[in-house]
Amino acid sequence: MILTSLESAMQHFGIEQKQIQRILEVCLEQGGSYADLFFEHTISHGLTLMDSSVNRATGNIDFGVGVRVVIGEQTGYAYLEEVSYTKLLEAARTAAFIAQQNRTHHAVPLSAVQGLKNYYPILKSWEEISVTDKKPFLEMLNQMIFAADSRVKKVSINHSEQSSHILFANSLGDLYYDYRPLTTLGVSCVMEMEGRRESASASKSFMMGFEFMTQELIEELTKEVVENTAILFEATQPKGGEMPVVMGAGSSGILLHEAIGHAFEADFNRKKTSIFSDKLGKQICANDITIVDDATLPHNRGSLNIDDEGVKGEKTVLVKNGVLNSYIHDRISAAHYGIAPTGNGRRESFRYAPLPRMRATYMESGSHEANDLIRAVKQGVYVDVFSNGQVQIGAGDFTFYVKSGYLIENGRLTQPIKDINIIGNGPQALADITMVANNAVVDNGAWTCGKGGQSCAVTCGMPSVLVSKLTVGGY
Amino acid sequence: MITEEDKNLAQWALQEARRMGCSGCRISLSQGKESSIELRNEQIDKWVESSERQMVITLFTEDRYGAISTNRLEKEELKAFIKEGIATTQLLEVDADRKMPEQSLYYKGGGEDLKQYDEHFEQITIGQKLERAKAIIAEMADSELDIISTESSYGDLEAYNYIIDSQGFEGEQRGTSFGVSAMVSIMDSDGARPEGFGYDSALRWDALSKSGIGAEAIAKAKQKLGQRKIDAGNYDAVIDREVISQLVRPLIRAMYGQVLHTGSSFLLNKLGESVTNSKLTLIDNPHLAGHIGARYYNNEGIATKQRTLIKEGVLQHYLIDPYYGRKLHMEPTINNVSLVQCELGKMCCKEMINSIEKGVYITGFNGGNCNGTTGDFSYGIEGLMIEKGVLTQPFSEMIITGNMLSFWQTLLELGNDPRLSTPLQIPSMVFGDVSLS
Repeated sequence: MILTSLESAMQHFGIEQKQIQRILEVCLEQGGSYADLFFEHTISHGLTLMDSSVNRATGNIDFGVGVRVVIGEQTGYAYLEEVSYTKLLEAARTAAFIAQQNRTHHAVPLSAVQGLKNYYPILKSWEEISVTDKKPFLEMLNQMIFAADSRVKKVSINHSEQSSHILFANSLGDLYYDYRPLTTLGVSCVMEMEGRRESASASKSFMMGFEFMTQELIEELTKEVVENTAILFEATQPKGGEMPVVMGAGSSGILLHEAIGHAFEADFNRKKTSIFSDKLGKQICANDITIVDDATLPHNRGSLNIDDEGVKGEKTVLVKNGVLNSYIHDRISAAHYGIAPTGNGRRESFRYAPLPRMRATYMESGSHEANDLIRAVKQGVYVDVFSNGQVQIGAGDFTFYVKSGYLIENGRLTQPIKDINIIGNGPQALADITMVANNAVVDNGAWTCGKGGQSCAVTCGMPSVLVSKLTVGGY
Repeated sequence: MITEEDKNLAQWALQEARRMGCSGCRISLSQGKESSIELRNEQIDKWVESSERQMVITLFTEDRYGAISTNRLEKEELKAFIKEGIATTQLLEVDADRKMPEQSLYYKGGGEDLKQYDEHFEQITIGQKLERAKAIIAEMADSELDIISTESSYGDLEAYNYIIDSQGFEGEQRGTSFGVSAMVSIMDSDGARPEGFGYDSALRWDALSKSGIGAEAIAKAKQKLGQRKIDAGNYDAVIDREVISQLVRPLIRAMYGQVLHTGSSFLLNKLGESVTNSKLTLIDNPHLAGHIGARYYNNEGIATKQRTLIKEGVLQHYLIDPYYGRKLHMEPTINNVSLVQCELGKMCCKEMINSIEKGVYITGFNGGNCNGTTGDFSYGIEGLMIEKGVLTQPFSEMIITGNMLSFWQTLLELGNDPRLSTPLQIPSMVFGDVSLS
């Protein structure tokens, strides 16, 4: 089911345009300056393979509408799990309570947002697909992993797909319907060798339909998970300390996400709690570094045709030639700074008010050959497989967890390493990037970003970079 | 609340699933009502009101298993949803271990009230909630500090759950919870903006702290002024009760049936063996009335009971549900802990700090992870140096690295100071010879 028009979307949610208009008017009756309604119907399915058998299926339906009223930087929010005009009017009055002003704003008459591009068109909707269609791919992945390495003892595979139907309206007159398909195939592998066990995982995630499931995808995941697990038998936790770190291309984008991405989110900056809150327009790193946050990559997990408060998806240049060019804005922060929002207002579901959130955050290619970065290091580490990260916005201290990598000794990769945390300070780490390679890659793993109790699908990417010093965990 | 109409709907869904071919079925109907207020610098920043409900339907059909959930509870939609769920489940591979739990494991009723519900929930006014949040902001006024931002929040939740299954289990639970928090951001002389956080939670409005949360946030932010790296090396470490769960959770996760079955647990084949220093005794104590986490049964209807998970360092039990019990050929216990406590030591955190000649007091973890298969871990940390029993230099950007099995053997002391308003009531602890980089 893909709804083909705004009219069919309104029919699907059981609401009429004139009713939406009236609800928005009620939202503004207490003096609110902006209001929006976010209708969502998400259908999700999951399928699990364990012990070489596809033996668990899950399904979920989530349906509801969020009502938001904003006055200045204050937000009133209510949500309902049933769409009834009467109850929505009540919710509007509840959310409007935030304002308590003696004036009434008026909602602009609604009209469809024009010129929307579709960054995630699909060929075959998940809603037309059954377990019978998906199962062979999970079985193929399982067989290929077992066939690839005799040390494989256990394989667990999870496939998930969800189709979200979003109907949105705001008091600025914007009205849109967006269909958001999201699918992920993830695999974990346990190997055993001489009584030792090691495990690793890999995943791929895109905004796509059933065309996502291909033999190429299965081969890519097989290679990644087998290699990531096998290397761990040779790896050790290294001697820790401060040292140069070469970040491999692709998933090293976690450095950007944690070290600076969160600190660029404009809610932290308008509150002045971010360490970057007084650095807009200033040089913060070498002038060959450009970093973007992009909603327009085709089928990317972080892409958005239009954000969750009615702003079209765009490619936002955060750092241009080393200068902090833009924060990551929602409507509230954009109004605070007197600029146009950047389309980063996102929410986990109708249960949450939007916040400034990243989409696909990556650094553009530099000029060096990737191998030159390793050759430039006498004693350090090369890291390229990660699991998670975190940042302290105010102090700027960030960490990311390295599942595996290598020691660098005299310009060469030597001993494999594993399970270490790397820690640094965001502005300092950015300033300490001394070489940027010409091999930028966006990683298409199932990256999920948490903030304010909400999760959002994102991606990250980077060319290989050399950071002259970071603190590396170890003995 | 769960009405007779709701119960009838759950019964109807159960009968429909059976009629459509399920050999076994469980229905769990949940409802909740929440409100939250966030203040920033004395002004309301965000105010949220919500109510929600959800039905989770667990389907067993000819040794196949599926689980579906929805918040669309109209009968016609539910009927179609159940039908589709069963059809999907029937396409799965047979797994002979997928069966309803043995009835002998069910909670049979008769327990005393666990005091999880505040009868006054509905009577608490918006004004009272707002006052709580405002009082916290007022506590954070400190003329000696360069304060950038103060934030406070109040939140409450009323939740109901009703479970029935095709083997006759029926259970109903209700609970309330209340929480307040404070966060302050201050300017340090080097441009860093350290933050301090304080919180409290309670099952009853009257039990929620009326003061001290804002002051706690201020004290924690002050402790971070002048943070810098310290020398790498091995230190004795006091780990504060607020963050010690970071090291306890990997131990508990490694007891789960699922990770044991997949061979990805560092506690595999360790039952009856020493896995920590003998000073640690870890108990799941689910029937403590009035405590967060207390319950008589889990989401499968299986009765909880007091279990000593680790006794004087020796692993006593895994956390195994009936499914993984069959897979692993082991007696099932329970799929997760409820309310975890330790046998306590005699010293408070301050006394433990005073007892250390040279070491570190860890007050925060920043990222990191634990490899559940091997137990190897590496976490970012912050805190203060201890010199001759006194807290001195604040530090950050340090990393603690080790292996869970060897690390827990270095436990020297347990404190007597667990926070009682969490389901992991773990005190501050002292570890010896901890590697920091």
